[in-house]
Amino acid sequence: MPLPVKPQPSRSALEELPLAQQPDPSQLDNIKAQLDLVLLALEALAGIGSEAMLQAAADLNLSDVLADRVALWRLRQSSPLRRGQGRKRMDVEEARALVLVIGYLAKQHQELIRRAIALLEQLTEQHREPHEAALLGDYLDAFSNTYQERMEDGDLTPQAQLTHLALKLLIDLLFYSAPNGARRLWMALLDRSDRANGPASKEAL
Amino acid sequence: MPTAVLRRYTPPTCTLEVAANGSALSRWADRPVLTDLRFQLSFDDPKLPPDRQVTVEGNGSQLEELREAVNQYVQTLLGQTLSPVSNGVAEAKATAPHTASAVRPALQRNGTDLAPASVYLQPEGWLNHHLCLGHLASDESGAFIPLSTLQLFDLANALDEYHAEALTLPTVGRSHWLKQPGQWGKVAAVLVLAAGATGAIVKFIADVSTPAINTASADRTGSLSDQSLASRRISEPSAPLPPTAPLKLEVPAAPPAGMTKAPDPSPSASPQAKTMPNPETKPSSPQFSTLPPTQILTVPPQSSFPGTGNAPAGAPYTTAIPQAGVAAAPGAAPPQGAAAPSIASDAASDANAFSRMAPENYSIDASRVNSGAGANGVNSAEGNSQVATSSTAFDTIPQVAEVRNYFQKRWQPPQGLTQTLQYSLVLNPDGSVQRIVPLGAASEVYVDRTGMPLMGESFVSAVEGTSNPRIRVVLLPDGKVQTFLESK
Repeated sequence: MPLPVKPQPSRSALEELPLAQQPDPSQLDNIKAQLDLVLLALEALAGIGSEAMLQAAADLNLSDVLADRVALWRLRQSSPLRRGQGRKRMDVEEARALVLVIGYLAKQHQELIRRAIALLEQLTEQHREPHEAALLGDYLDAFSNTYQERMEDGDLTPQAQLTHLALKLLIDLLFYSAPNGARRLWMALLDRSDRANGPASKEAL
Repeated sequence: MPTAVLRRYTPPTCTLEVAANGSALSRWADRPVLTDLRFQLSFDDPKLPPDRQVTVEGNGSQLEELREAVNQYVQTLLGQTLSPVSNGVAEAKATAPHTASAVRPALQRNGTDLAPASVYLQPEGWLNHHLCLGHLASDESGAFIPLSTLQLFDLANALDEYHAEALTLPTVGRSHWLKQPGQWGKVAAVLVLAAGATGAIVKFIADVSTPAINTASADRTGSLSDQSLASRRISEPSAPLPPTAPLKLEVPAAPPAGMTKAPDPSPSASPQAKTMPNPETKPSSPQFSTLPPTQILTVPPQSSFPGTGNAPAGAPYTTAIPQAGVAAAPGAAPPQGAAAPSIASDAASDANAFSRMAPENYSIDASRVNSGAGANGVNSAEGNSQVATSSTAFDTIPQVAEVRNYFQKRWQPPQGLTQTLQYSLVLNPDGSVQRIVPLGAASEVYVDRTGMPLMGESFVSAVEGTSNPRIRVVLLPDGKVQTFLESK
């Protein structure tokens, strides 16, 4: 009996994410941290858990890269910002896969992201705090709590800084929800990691 | 004359309209190739007061420049550090102006100086942005347009969507109609119509024909009253007529001549169409329309449509109109009896096709046709039966249903497709496909996603007689398939 052929990830999707040269380790560290944060934002905004992420990977024919919860956990734990991080690894293919998953999930939740941004714009224009809108308030709380729980310096990071980070990520998610969102994310990851020098840390993000 | 292509991209807070000529090179590319492109970008966020809803216009290279500027800016925004140097939102706001200088040098990364009139963006705070128009600025727009983050997002998406769909050749000159002053007004009128539902388009066609029909007296001989009843039953009150519509009705002088003399009224139709967009040829999609019917990019190339004595093959929706106009043409000799019933049936079948296109908005059905026939006292039994026959089914030949079944099994609308795709299929007598004519740019783009049979491949059953029936296939974005006979 012939072996079943594994479905290949969409060629055009991977080709959309070009790479001029292999990132060096500190660049890769930077990329891991960024990806973990973007996924954190999706979790906090839309309640997206590992099941949804794995389902997205399956829908995109990326299950050979993101096979199960263990693999997903490893990739997220690879972020240098995480507590107790034991230098888990992530290679470029895995990073690409996560980028495609993020684009896919952001697209699925575009309406929600759009609504959150609209609320943010409205409140900011009125010089009111973002927390005043329930959608934003819940997002910011969830983001802060999860960040503090998971990240090495979680307890040391001022609340206002976390709020700013969360809102910046929210705006980024809007652009990642576009049809070419995955590509935009990939280019942004490379841009930021290019600029980051020295040891991976929050400041270098 | 190359096909003119109109595209419209409508995210929530802006509208990008692109008009261009389709180059003959499109047949060799996998997507439409455009020349003489012009765009109109309207910042029409409903939340903005009308005086802030501005419009920017330009040509193809300016559109590219705009797209590049927006893309670079968005990428720069995204590439900013995730973590603020300082603490807190307020201080992040304070650091935002620094990023303005970060953006402009980005545009100069490749070493060339930024020309003073070029288009660029800069942040205004952390949620707002200024689109600095440079040489695109006008009195209406001012030097820059403030954009919220959502408006920037929508603008970027519209520009990317346009880019994904078209290859643009450098503009070498403008075609006549694109240069006409006030052209955008006419285009806008057409697009306003296009923005309505299919039923509205059909209603429009009905209303366009109505003024002519009203002059048709009921005491004309049987075949002509078939015309009037064919049109009368589709006349509905008051869809607003665009100013260009009445001009169309002057055309009728040609079709009667077309019927009694040599066929092909298209020469008289085309000057009209050349100087204004022809709404009737628009497929039932609000997203785009295709101009003049005399030539449509086809697969494979062909020199002209066969003049079968009916309306120009490339303008099937006008079939009803010129023939309706026959009734209005004063002093027109009554068409030969042989020709008239087939015209009536074609008009009926096309009108029925309209009704099938928009069943939810439109209540034409066979019973109305027949009751209309009765009310008009049609005294030609032949005409009456012709109308009745074609009105009960437009599966006038079995192949129409076979083609529909074929596509129903295969048609899977691609994700994100919003346009209706239409193809004219000309069949060989043995039931294979002689020719496939995509109608409109989207149909050309998506032809290989439709399950279209290959030419010469056996497809449906052999056709009775030796004719080459021409069948229209309509593929709707919701997965529905419709077919009707265009001509035998």
